Amino acid sequence: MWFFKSVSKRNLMEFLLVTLFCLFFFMPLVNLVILAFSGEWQYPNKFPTSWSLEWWKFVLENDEVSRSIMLSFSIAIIVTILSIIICIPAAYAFARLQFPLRRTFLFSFLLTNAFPKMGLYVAIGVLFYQFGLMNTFTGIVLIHMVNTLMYMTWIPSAAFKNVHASQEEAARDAGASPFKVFWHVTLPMAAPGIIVASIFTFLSSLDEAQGTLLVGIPDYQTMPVVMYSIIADYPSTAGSVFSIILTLPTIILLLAARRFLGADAMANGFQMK
Amino acid sequence: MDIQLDVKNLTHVFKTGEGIRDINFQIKQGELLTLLGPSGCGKTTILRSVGGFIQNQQGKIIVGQEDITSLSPEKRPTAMVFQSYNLWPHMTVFDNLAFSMKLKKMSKDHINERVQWALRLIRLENTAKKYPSELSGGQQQRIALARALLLNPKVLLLDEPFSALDAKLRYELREELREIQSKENLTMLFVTHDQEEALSISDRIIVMNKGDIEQMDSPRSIYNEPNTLFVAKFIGKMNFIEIPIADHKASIGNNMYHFSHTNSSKLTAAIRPEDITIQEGKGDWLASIKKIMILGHYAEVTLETEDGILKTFVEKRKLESLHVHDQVSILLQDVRFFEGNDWIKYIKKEELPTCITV
Repeated sequence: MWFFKSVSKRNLMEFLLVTLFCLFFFMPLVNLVILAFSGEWQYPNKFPTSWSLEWWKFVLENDEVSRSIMLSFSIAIIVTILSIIICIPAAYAFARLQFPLRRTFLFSFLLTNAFPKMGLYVAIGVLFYQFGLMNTFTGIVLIHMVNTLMYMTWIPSAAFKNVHASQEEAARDAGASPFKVFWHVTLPMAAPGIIVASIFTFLSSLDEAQGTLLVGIPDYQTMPVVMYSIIADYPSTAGSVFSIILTLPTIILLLAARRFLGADAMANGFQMK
Repeated sequence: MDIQLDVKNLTHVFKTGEGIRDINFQIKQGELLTLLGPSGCGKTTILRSVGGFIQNQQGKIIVGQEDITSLSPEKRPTAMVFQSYNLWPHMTVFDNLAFSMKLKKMSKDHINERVQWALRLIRLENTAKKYPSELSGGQQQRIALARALLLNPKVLLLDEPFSALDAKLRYELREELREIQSKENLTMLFVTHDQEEALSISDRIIVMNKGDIEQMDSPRSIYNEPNTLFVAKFIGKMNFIEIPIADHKASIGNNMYHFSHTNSSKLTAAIRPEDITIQEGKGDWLASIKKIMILGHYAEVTLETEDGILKTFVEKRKLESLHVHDQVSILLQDVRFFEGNDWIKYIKKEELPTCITV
């Protein structure tokens, strides 16, 4: 086979490592997809003995499931919009203004992601009880935003920083007011970074289970929360169908945004400047 | 001629202590004035003040008849070309150029016409649909220049626009800028730290040092008659010799210079390399040749005298008769003296009877 012939002794090691990595990375995914479409699959068969769409039907026809999908998406959209409204001005301030404790503030956004999540959520939950935010939509949105603040501040802040002062000044010079400069020059130039951050925000909100479980129970059950119960209560096939549904938006969004996604945008976003 | 830009008592001191103090100058209509000086001398501060990017602590800036001191950049009749990062990378060249006119809501035909005119002027007609990243550095700076010209500025401000380019391109763009300037009768304030660039394109030059104006003059005067030691050191090549002074008199080789009054015991004599001639027979001064360095059509000859090292330029043809370690006599055509930083004029030059011949 030409493929194996092209592997010389020198890069045999590399080849083996890459293969191993691919197996490690893709096997579970492949397994998941096969499982989702299987009818009957018993040990020691390597493949399912029969195929079926039974569990797809179950999941898609289940009211609870479709409601959770709707809920998850509406929460994710609201969280993303709110995060943009709150964080973009903050990101711009971090990028352009020099104020005391600037780095400390910026670093504090990272802290929410540094603690063990559950501990943080329990602490927040105590607060939420006092303010009557438990089992409310607002409460879930707020707890999701605890996670997304970091993406939405760090990445756009780096994007704003990459817009040179002279590019803004040239626009002022050409007759644009500060707001028009921001609208026509700064914002479009920082757009890729903001889009990347928004996608992360959207996906992380879509994926958030721990906090939602704590704050939203019993009335607000998002996709990941419902998935916990489905995995616990039904055969693994249902779980794999559901996880494919859960992964789908991620894949679609990442494909749509792959133009903006790059190691640069990520690396820039997490620089402490 | 009309005064186009009038800068009065401009002062702006930063927290670091750097800045500009009490700057006064005027630019005439159609004149190219250059601010020249080492980095941190305040030249860019002046330029940015005129452009409106620095709110000055003191002073007035008047363009034409209008006092623009308190106007924001977008309201000023000035246009600026920056050192780099001029263009907006998310817009095509056309959009970059049309930006200001679109803001003013001009008609599409008019915008098209003006953009075409600007592109013809800088000879980049075919770039309208390209993005800045598809252009070379020199092309980008030309687009930036065109964009500034489309603002119809009363004063065009240029902040070291060519310093990021390589030497050959810099030279070409310099010529092109001068051409456009005279064609469009533009009034320009140009900032550079490159003295060659300043000498070659300016009508007048302001040499700056540490926030003060050292000298304001034509390029020729700046070169030939530097008013301060700083200017003499900064502009062109110059030989400097420390000479003692006694009884208001100082001597270099065979020449005795008389001064009306001096306060210090030492003067600095400044001599341009081209004002030193190596000759046979009688001369002003005795020297030995230390080094000969060929630099193409001429050579730099290093001479050792009793008072110090001098460098001079010798034409290729005259070089054959010169050898290292030769004793030669030299003639000094023009010597300028400085006491401290200031130029001091001698009142009389006297030739001493001791004759120097080789």
